Amino acid sequence: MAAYKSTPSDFPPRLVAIFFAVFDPQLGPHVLHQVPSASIHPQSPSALFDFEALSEYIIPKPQLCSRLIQICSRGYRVLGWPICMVDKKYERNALMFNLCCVFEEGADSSCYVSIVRRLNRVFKRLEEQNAFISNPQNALQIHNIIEQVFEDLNNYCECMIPINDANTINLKLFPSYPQPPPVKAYHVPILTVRLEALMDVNWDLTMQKVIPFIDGINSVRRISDIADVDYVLAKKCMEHLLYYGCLLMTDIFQFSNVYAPTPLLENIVTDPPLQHECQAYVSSHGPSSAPKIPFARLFELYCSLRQGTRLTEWMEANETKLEGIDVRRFVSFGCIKGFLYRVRRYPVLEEGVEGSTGAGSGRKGVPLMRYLDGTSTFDEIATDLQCPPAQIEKALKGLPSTASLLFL
Amino acid sequence: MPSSDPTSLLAVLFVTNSSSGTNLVYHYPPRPEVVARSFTRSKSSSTTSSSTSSSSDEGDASDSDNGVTSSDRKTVRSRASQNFTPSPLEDPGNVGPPATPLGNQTNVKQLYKQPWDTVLGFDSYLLADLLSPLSVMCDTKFELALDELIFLGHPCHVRPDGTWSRKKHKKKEKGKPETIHEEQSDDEKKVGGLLMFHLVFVMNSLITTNETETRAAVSDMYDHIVTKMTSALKFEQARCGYVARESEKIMSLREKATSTETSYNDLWQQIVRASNLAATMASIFDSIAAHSVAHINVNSAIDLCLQIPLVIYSPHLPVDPDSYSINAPLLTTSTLALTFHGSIQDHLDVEESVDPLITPHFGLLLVDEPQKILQDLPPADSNSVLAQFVKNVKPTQSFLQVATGMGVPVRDVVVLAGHLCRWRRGRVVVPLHPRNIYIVSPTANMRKLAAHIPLFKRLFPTLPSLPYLLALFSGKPRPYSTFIPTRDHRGIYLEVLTWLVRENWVCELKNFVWVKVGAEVKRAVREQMRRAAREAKDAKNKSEAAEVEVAEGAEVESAEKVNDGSEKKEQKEKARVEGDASSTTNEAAEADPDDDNEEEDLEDLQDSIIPDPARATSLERAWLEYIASTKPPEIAALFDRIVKYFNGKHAVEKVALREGITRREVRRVLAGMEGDMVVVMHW
Repeated sequence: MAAYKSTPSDFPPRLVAIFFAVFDPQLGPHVLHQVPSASIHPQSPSALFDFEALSEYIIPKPQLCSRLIQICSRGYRVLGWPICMVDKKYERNALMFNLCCVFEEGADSSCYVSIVRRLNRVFKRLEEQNAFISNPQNALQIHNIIEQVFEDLNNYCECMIPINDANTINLKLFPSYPQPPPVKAYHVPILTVRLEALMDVNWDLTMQKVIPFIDGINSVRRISDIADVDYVLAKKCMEHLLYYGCLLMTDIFQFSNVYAPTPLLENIVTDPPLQHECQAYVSSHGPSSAPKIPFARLFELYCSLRQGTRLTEWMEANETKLEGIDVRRFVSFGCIKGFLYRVRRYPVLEEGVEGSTGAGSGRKGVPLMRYLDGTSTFDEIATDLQCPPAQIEKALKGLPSTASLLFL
Repeated sequence: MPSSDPTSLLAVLFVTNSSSGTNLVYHYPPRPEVVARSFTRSKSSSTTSSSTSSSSDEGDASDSDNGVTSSDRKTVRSRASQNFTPSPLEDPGNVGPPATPLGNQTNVKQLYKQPWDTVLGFDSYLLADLLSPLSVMCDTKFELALDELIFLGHPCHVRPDGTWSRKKHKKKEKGKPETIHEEQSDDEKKVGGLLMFHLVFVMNSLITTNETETRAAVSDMYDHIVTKMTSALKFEQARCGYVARESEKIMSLREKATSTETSYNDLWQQIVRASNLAATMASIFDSIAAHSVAHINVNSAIDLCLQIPLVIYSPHLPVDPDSYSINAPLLTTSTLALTFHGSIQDHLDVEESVDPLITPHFGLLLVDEPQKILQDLPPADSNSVLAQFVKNVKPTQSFLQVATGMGVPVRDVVVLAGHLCRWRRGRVVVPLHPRNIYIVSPTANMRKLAAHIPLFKRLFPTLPSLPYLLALFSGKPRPYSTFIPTRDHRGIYLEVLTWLVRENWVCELKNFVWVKVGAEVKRAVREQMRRAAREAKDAKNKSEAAEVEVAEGAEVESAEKVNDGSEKKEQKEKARVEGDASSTTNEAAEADPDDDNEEEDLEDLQDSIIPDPARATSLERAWLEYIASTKPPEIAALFDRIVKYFNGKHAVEKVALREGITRREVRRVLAGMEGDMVVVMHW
């Protein structure tokens, strides 16, 4: 399978403006503070958008408060998390406010969702503690907070603002990555980061147990076994590392596997740095020592991989050319870079598909039958039944009617 | 890359603002289901060191909570939805926001609430208000997001003069005289005093998709569906007050249902039957939510086909095979196919963007039986060129062959094919041929196997079973003809192939070639270059000497050695020789003929690949020439002609077509050059 790669795209988005709006008992929705100045206020000629028109979404009905509201207008996107605090002490029995962030409409503002939510909830908390918002004396401080949030997040992606003895605002922008595909028991994780160097005693215990066994050979299931960790937890760790791009996933490497090139192979020809990386990675003598393997030879070898040819057969055919090459690394490099793909193997038994499970053959056959409807790969079956692929192959041969093996 | 389903369409709402207030007139489906954003994993552990657990977030006063973690988001979300968005599946009696303590705001409407007055967990009057923006926000894109729900629309507001369209409105449909709307505009004011209408598409943005994908899905929906639908409605409203009339109709049905205690489902069916607007909304929703083409008819006057174009072909394998619901066939050889199926607006683009030499050699594979496609055509078109084309086109024939058979220009056939592709009735393919090599498609959907085995048996009862055949395709790649037992079976086997390709069970494998330059070639070329450089130098020396001789009447050697200006001259001359060598005689181009650094040579004399012969450096050209010179002249000539395709971008199968030579000739070149080629097979 092609390796998963997380790429934060133009992170962080630029915060165009930030403003604090309240529901004024006399004026209705009203902008109290804004940074940069005059960017929001309705009368201002440099206003980014028409505040009046959006006010219904910035200070909405109480039922819509305490949730993320995004509204787009004139090429800008306003993120807000309106708060409605009900109390007899307020003029209309409620205080409503919303601290909103403004972005260009196309910007990826998802990392600000939690920021906006947090800021508004901090304000709510402050109001509960000592009427921070409703007290007009604090206006300047609120303005300063907003200004600092604006400057710091745009410049440093984080900020720390002490408010009073008890409260501090700590914010940091984290890129949000796309969700990686689910981790399977038969996936083999490969580290892209030297996690041992990063790890300290505060790390999650399972993580600490699992990481030493990530060596590009062990499958997730195997790692959980050797590390003596619950499989579900081990899987969670992998998903976590995968999300942050610390891992790549490949399949279990076996010499009985079949690999074939993909159209991406074309790219490596015109990419000398990638060629050097490849030469260093696949060498069986390690990256530094020994003369480099000519790239042309590696390339020819990659090209000669075919659907329908097992690695063992391929190695026999190319025995002389493979000198100095670590075949496992050779293959995993191709898979990671996406110019090779693993040709998966699906055993299919027609009876298995049609659901007539009557043809059970011995005790071994029965659990196996469940997997023969063509939706499970060999790897899946092997890891699920926890028995070596060779044994499954034997069991398949022992079935009364022959199973077809599909490769795709 | 198409992923499973970035953002799904949840519901279509219709909101109006009239003299009687705002109304959520109709929504479809009756009970839309929201998939709440939820995380399948917790990312709160190690990497963000000591973040306070977020579940205590509600209580903690804002300090020390530096790790904004995603599990945090989950808990907050679920809490928020507990409070404010009850699932629409809950008992309608409990649905709705908790009675607000703002006593004065308690709404009378809630007392007489009907089950259909709660949509997506919101009171419908609330949604109606929310989706009726002020007039300054009308007639432009409207996008509002409440948590994971995106409300997308294009509200239309009545013009200040009470009409619905500019004096000179654009020509939307044939045969709509402009005068009609002038006459009707007076009637409109009578009909309900409609001020604004807003067709809203509600989408569910899932956390599994990133922002970019969501944005893309939203803009697709807006460009291809929202704007088109809205302008059709606006046109009909301007023409004959359609929107106002339909909303009145629906509202009165709803009111009647309140008194007669009609059930929710009955009422919704009743409305769809009675109102063209409701029926249109229902049909749009059903089609678009299922990723297919919506055929709608607004007010029996405007026929619309709407779809969000799909990328049908993909050159790359999906990251996660399991998430691949739309199993796209793989194809790289042609940007053609990609262009054809992309979101092209008019067909002229197709012709400009595709290779005119190769396009006629592609074929069209209909995704359905021709009769079924013909049924869907408007009756007037039943004898059109399009219908003829549908009847005549075969996946085994190229556009050129089809055009010749029908007696129409190829250009027309390409346009027709583009049309069918756009409306998902066909796919551009390399014409199917037994000589081609097919493998089981890496993107085949194995979950369909169970259903397809009996289907295959029914379609081709005399043939071996589907798994058996696919197992044949799973072996070493070989031409399809080797699967065909006898010549008599050819017809049926081609039919099978057509079916397999159509269902994306198999895909074609093609050959791509690079030129490999061996060490011995490099050595020989270097020798040649050195020799040539030496000769050139000698020649230069001689001619120079001759000049000197003429000028000074002295001997060559003595002239050079003795002459005062000889040193200068020598330098000049050397520079000239080198300059000449690199500019004119390409043999001596890159490599300095001086044999100084042997170590570097070792590296230089290794085998290498020429990335793109068409853009070869002069040294690479010298190698290519040398390789050609070692072959028989006729092969060398052909090689010279087709070598520009040996860059891994052109399938060998295409070369013959493009160069107008026979496949056999191409094969001969490949056979003759075997040691100097690297061949790779992919799709």
